[in-house]
Formats: sequence, C-alpha cells, structure tokens
Amino acid sequence: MEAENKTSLIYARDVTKTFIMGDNELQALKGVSLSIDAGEFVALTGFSGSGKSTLIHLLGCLDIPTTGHYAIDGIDVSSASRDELARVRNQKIGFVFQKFHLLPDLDACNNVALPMLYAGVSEDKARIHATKLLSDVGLENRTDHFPYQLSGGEQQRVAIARSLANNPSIILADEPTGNLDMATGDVIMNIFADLNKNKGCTIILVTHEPSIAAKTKRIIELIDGKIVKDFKAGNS
Amino acid sequence: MNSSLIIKSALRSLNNHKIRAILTTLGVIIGVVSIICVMSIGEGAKYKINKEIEKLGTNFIIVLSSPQRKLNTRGLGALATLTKADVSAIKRECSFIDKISPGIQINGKVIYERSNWRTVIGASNEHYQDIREFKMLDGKFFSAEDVRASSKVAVLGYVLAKELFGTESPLGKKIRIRNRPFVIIGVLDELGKRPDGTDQDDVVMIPITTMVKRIRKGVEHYGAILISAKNPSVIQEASAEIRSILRQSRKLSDNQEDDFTVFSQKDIANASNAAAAVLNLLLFIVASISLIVGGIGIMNIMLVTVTERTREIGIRMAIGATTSNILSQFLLESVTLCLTGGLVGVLLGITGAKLISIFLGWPIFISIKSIVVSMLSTVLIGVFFGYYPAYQASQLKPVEALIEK
Repeated sequence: MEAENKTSLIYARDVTKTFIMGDNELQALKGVSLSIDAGEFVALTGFSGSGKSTLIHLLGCLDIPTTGHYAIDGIDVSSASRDELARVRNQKIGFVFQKFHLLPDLDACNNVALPMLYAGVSEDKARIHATKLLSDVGLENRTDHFPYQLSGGEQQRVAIARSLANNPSIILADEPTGNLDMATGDVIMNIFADLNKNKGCTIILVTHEPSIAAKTKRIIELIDGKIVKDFKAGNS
Repeated sequence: MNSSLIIKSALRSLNNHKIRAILTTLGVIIGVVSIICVMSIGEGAKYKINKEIEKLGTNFIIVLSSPQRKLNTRGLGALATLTKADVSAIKRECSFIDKISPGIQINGKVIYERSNWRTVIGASNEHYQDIREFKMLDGKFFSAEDVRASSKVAVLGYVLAKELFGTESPLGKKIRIRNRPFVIIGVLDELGKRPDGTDQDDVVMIPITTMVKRIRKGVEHYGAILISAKNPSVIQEASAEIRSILRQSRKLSDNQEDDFTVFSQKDIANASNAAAAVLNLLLFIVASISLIVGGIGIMNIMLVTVTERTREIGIRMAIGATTSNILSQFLLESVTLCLTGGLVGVLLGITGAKLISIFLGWPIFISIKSIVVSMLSTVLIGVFFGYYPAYQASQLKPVEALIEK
C-alpha cells in the first residue's frame, strides 16, 4: 500500500465513520487508509453494506470522518466547515450518481452550467462552456432538452458533463451504470476510460460488478468497513 | 450565483405548480386587497369629512352650553345655560368677531295640512345665514325686522320642504310648529348629511325671539352661540378670546372648569379626523392580520416545498451550493411568491376600491402610499415567513438529502 504518500491527490489515514441510529452505534468504516494519485482510474468494490458508499461520501466531502484524517489535493478537510466542504465539492470534485440526479426543472445546458454558477462564473460564460462539455459527450443536439426528455444513457452523459464543469481534480462515480442496460453502460464506461486516458482525469468509481471494475486500472475492495484488497487491474 | 437567475428559477417553479401558487398566495392577495381598500376608503372618508366640515362655514365658531366633558352624554345644547348677557359680552368685547347669533335647538312636529313631520326646530337671529354661509334655494332668510318683531315666519331645510310639499313651492304656505301658525318665507339649499349621519337639511329655522316668546314662554336661555370671525386666519385667537370673555361674564373662578365649550370649525375638523384616524387604524389592523395569516400560509407551503425538494437540495449541495446559496434560493422563492401575490392584490385592490366607491357613492383615493405600504409588507412577509423554511433547507445534511427516498 502507498498510503503514506502525503503528496497524493487523495490521502486518507485511519478514517472511521460511526453512525448513531437510536441507541445503536454502527461503525461503517473501521480505519481506512489509502492514497490515490492524479491520473488514476480506481474501482471501489464490495458487497452492499461493506462501507463503500460511506467511503465515497467521505472522499466526496459530502460528510466528514468521525476520526482520522482526510486530505484532497493537499487540503485537509477532516474537520472543515459546511461551507468549506461546499467549496471543495464545487472546485475539486465532480459527482456522477447512479440515479443521474439532474435537476428536473432545468434543461441539459443549465444543469451542466449550475456548478459554474455556484462558482461565480457569469451566466453567459457558463452556458458556452456547458454547451462545449455537452458536445464532448455527444449531446450537442440535446442542450435544451429537459431530463424527462432524455434517455437514461443521455441523462448520465449530461451528469458526466456536469461533473466536469469546474475542471475538478477528481471524478467520483457512484454505481454510474447501475440504472443502465449493458450496452449503454458500456458507452458510459468508455467515456470514463477516454476521460482518464486522453484527458488525464482522476476517476474513482463505486461498483459491485466485477466486469465494470475490470475496466479500471486499480481495484480496491472493502469488506465490513475495511480495505481487504488493493491491486492493479489488468488494464494498467 | 446571481439573484436574477434564482428569481428565474423561482418563477419557473411557481409556474410548474400553478394551482398551488394561486392557493398559497390567496391569503397574501386578500390581505393586500383589504389594505388597499381600507386605506383608499380611509382617505376618501377624510376628504368627505373635511368637505362636510367646510360646509359649516370656514370661519365659524360655536359656543355650546355644556362643558366639554359632558358633550358626549348631553348632545348639542341639551341644557341651555348661555344667556343674553354672554352674547352681549362677546359682541362688546371680542375684537375678532364679525357676526354673532344665539341659537336654540329643540325637536318638534311640523304640520302642513294633513301631513306632519318630526324634525329639528332651530332658532337664531338674522345673521345665522351669513355665519353658516348658507345659500337659499328659494325665498329669503328672516330679516332683522322679523327678529325684532318676533314674526311667525319660518325657513325650511331642503329635506323638510321636500317631505311636506313635494314639488309644490312652500313659499307663503302656512305650517304649524308646536301648534302655532308660521308662514314660510324661504327654503335653504341642500347641505347633505353630516359625517355622523344626521341630516342637516331636515330642519326648520325660526327667529330666536319668536322661539323665546311663543315656544319657550319667555325663558331666554340659549343652547349655543354661533359666531363668525372676521377672517379664517384669526379663528384661534377669536376662540381664545371668546373663552376668556365667557369665563368673566359667567363669573368662573380660576379653579373652576369651563361650563361651556368653544369649538372652531378647525377643532371640529381635527376631532372628526382624529375619530376617523382611529377607525382607519382599526380597519388597517384587521387588514394587516389577514396579511399575516397569508404569510403563515406561505410558510406552511414553503415547508412542504422544502420537504418535497430535499433531493434537489442534496444535488445542489453536492455540486457546490453553500448554505447561503440554498438559503437565498428559498428566501427569494418565498419573496417572489409574496410579491406576485402582492401585485395581483394591488390590481384587485384598486378594482375593489373603485367598485366600493361606485356602490357607496363614496369618494375613493387610491393613494400611492397604500400601494407602497402593501408591496413593502408583502416583501417583509415573504422574508419573515420564508426564513424558517429556507433555513431548514440550508441546514440539511448533503448525504441525507441525497439518499432521501
């Protein structure tokens, strides 16, 4: 393991996360240490309940660890405030979700532009860049379509375009093919592979499907809140 | 994130839930409509009251025989205690007065042939017409000669003339007042109702001497003294001087209260306006309460909206919305909702006020003030009642909001 490298893009050390449900304490992560460098393409695998969703939420700065340290791009966010976390999410992280999570009241272009607007980019500039990002994922003819007018694969491509909006350090994809058929899932995976190979994007994706994990360069497997395997996949 | 974008998205979300938006803003709309109507009617009432008071004569002073604190219980001149000596003292000593007339007012029946009518019988001298600036519709007011001779002549108010004579001319006709015959020599022009609803045209005027000798059996006590000042600018000085003259002539010691009241037209105007202002304030409070109830409706629906849109809030947070982004988004939505209601309310309020003015025949002034006040209060209501739901939204935890079913 290379967890000691503090210059890594992602650096987590002894991270735990405990949830309190009524009288019960549930420790979802039991001391996770890992580091991921820029340009890596990582699959986070494990059965349901293994803690992989909790880990991706922490890595995505949607939550903070109960104990341990976590830094992204050199910024320690273990005890950051809500708004500091919001800024890191906006600038450093692009999310792609299983259920796409586009805003239903906004068309494709505005969905992609939204992270830029939160970053303070002017509306015009944001829309121009959003249009370019949409054409990069092959949706140049869908910019004014609303989510309900798009297929699942198209919605996920809009979500990928959105995740790239502020040129983030890392893309976190949580079961991005989970709601798609095989063929469409392959299209999405090819986009990720292309982004990693040709644009140098760092990508972490959560999946429980070995066939999807096999398309990445490194596989980290969690069982019961601990990393049990961390190895290079055939693609590297 | 600029606010025009948030307003656009707020309008879009209102547009997506039209029925809900209408129902939600209904409370605000009703509140604004009532504020505008109430304020317009209030302004109209003020105008009408002032018009009516101007009809009393612009430089008119009245001395009543009751002390001020008993005015409300006794009415005008119920206990006649003013005397000839008081009148002479004012006439002799007051430098600001032009004309003066004693006055007695009683209720009684006026009979013409087979019709009879209960009315107010007023008595004064020949100056009364000038003091009150009355116009004659027909004939003339009684003269100094009529007063000196205690003539049995009468001048009818407009309404009384209509009631007794219809379209016939009353001039020269004989009527009976308290069973004594009087000849009608004039009819007063229409004055209209007082703000308190009493009809100033339902009256018959006779010479004061006739009243004293033939009806009051020689008792020469007046309920009122009516005075015109030399010009409207000396009214206050005249009132003050009359008061001190009367205190002397009535031999009141320094520690005794006035046993009479001096009113100028201005005092009456002020009193009436003060009464109207209290009424307006009460109406305004009632209207404001409906606006507040409307605001509670807004808060209610905004809370529902926040619950419904938890997923959306989670997504926005995931892509970088800060606490204040979310707070201002929902606050602006609530303000937009209220302002939209306010605008609709202003339009309906103006229409409503116009309708009221048509139905009541009451003058209406739609003041810019009422529009500004109601629009400002809708913004305040939007902020006040929108803040709690917006705060709730901004404090959601991103993870929990995202995985919310």
